[in-house]
Amino acid sequence: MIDYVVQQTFNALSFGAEYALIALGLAIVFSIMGLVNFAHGEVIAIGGYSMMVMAAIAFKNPIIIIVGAIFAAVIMAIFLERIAFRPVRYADATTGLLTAFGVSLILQNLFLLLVSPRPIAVTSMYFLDWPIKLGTIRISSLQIFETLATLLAILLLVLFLKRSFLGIAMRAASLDFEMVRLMGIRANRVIASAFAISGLLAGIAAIFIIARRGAVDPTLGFNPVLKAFVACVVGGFGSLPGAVLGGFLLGALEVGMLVILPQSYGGMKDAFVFAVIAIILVWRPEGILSPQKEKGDKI
Amino acid sequence: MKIFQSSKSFHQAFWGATLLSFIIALIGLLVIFFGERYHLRLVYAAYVNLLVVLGLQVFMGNTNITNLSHSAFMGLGAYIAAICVTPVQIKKLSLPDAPWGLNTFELDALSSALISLTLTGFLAFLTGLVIVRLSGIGATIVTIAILVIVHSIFMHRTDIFKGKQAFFGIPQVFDLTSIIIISIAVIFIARFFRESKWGIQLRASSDDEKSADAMGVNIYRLRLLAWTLGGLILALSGICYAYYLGTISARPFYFSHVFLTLAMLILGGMRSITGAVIGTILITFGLEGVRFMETGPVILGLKFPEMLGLSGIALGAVIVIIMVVRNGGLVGNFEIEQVFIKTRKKI
Amino acid sequence: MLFVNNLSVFYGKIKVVHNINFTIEEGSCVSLLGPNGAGKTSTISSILGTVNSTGTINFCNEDISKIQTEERIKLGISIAPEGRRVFSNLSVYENLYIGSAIRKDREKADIEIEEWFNVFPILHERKDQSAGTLSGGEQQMLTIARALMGNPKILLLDEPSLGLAPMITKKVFELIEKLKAKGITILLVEQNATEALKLADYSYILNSGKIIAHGKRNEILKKGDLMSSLTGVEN
Repeated sequence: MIDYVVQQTFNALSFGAEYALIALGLAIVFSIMGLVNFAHGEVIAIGGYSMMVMAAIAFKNPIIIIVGAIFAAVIMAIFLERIAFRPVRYADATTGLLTAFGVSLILQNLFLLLVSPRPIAVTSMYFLDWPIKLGTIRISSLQIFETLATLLAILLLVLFLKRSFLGIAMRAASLDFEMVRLMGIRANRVIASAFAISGLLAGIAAIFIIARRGAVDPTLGFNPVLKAFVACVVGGFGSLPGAVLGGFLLGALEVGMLVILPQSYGGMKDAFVFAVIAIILVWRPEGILSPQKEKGDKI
Repeated sequence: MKIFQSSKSFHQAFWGATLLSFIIALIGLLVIFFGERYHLRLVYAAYVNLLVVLGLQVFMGNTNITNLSHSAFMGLGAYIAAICVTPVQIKKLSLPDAPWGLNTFELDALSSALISLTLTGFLAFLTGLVIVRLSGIGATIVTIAILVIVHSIFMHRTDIFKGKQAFFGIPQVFDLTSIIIISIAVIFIARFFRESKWGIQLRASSDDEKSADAMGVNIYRLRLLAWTLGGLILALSGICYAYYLGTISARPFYFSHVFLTLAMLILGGMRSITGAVIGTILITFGLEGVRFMETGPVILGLKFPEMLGLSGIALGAVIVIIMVVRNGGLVGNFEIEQVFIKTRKKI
Repeated sequence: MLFVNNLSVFYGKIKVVHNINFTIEEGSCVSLLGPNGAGKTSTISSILGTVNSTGTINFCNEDISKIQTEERIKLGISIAPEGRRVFSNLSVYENLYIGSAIRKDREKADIEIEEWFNVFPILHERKDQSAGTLSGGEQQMLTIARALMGNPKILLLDEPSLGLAPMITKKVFELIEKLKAKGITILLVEQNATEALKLADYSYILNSGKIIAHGKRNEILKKGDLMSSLTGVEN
């Protein structure tokens, strides 16, 4: 019994870690720019496709592939910001959201058109995934790696935001973007940095997704981002701790549903998870840890 | 009960809707008399989409909240009506395990449609109670949740909905004429709602929630009204869809359709009915052109390669370009009768 | 140091400031006075480059009219804005640190921050507290200190006394007096004309987007009734 619980806890942790990773990428961009970046899934997909390309050019060294994938994702994120999101930077939130949708559509179909509508095998990351037995508990090494990587990423991010000048500037920008400009800090630099970080997180997520699936296809990022999106909102959209909380909560919910629901309903796991989410939102419309309201604004 | 703030609003709404109806009827009649089967199907589909876009417009255009669940309500409308209206012999075949005796009765088309409208409208009302209290993004998320949940139910309760497989045997009682009439009716409804005091108050409040609140505008009730009305129109679109095709499945009522109809509304301009109509027409015909190119046609002796995915790119491009260049859509706030009202003023 | 020529400010098609001219000499303290809606903040915004404006703005012999906001700040224009606008969830220390953005020698920022803590012991006391939890007066001190962290050539002060109790207002103006004594060039925008006139070497009175009077304190006070009704200054 204990074994089962431990096993499921590991599952919940690794699912949650992946959602948290992706949700953080979304939250960083939203907290600074107010942009809901639906194209984040395609940044993840580019990570996957770049791995495919590198494998095809016969790069065997996994370090090169990992670094390459992350690099590709970062570049893609910065590129998207420059080309698609800068023109709507100061428009209202709905415009930004819809623009991101459009970009997501374009990219998904570009993958379809230029590469293939079918999944393409990418097995270079399989080495990360081997079964581990701890007594009667069976987990995969991948779960451990993913959870550790996410925790490490979160730690580094926190350090960056608290200690580095750019990090502090980004936190300031999420509170009062205009004022940061009035300090002489270039808006473009802050925003590009935010996208770069989101790209970095997306790249890491891509590695684990590919390691698990072994293949890349145009919709690789779409479903994960959808879930991460929901995680963000439940946690409090725009709040970084909220994104992490939401991600792990979602992971726990999903595993919980798998455990609780009888076999025949298994396929409807998603529906139940979303239903619970909807209930949470009714109870807490702004999310559980909504971004801290401006404390004591005195005018 | 005073619905319009002034008789001017009423007149504008009336004439605007009339003009649009004229256009819709004209296109429809041309196709009926001169078109082939293929054209009839295309225009019918376009008009079903028009109904969806109008249902979407009633909520989104007046509240400025992005709604992504519209295809789910369309699906609900379609399935409920389909289950009620399909003859028992066929249902026993296609839904052998249907619970609650769903495969033991059949109703006529009208009753089935009414039941569908009532049930879907009720579901819209319930979900609306949650949605209207949320902030913009939160509301959008819940609409995504609705879409996914409904789709999931369609796909997995195969005993009722048949999931991926086709639900067949629906009597095909509608033709192009029927949907032209329905479209005209909905155009009037949507337009009247827009110019009614509710529509105007909603639009004013969506721009500034706090002042609206201070002026005693009950924004939650207004949003609920718009949401439910939209839901009813969407249910109607689903009914039209089912009653023409005779066969439905769960797949279409998901993200691709959501994006397609969203693009139609955005292109035209989500604040205006004229925009909804224009956007639907442009994208329907534009997409046909793009789809033609996708298949790798031979034009003037040149063989074009097969380019699957081109339609998705075109759709995405339309959304992005409109957002960047003209985010009010092609017509913004403009409604068609303003062409004539302006000229009259000159005289 | 700062020459503003024929400046007009537009919000969309609406003109809110009409072809005004003024000058700020180096080391002087100039005040811009006038009632609510006169166009004072719009004028400041145009110097910063955050609104649509026409006319020329010449700063240290350079025409900055077409330059981006961030670049203007880097040239040495600094602002303590209306409403304080401290970064509420950042600590006092972090707020000051951000102020050092335009310095080339950011490592020395710590030293400067220490100096400010000497001037304002209360800020030192609260250095790790969220800036949003400070009182109005403390926030005003913070925002001025933050504005000076970059060693600017000119300090724009937008309504520093707004919303503050009279006792605190007094302290704020005492601070501005000290800054003046240090030789810092200041443009002071204020509704509290009494104090502002006392501090300023030269003043401009703005109303409905036009400069209706300007001069040294005595010259202005001579214009009697008009001045009283506009600024509430009793002779």
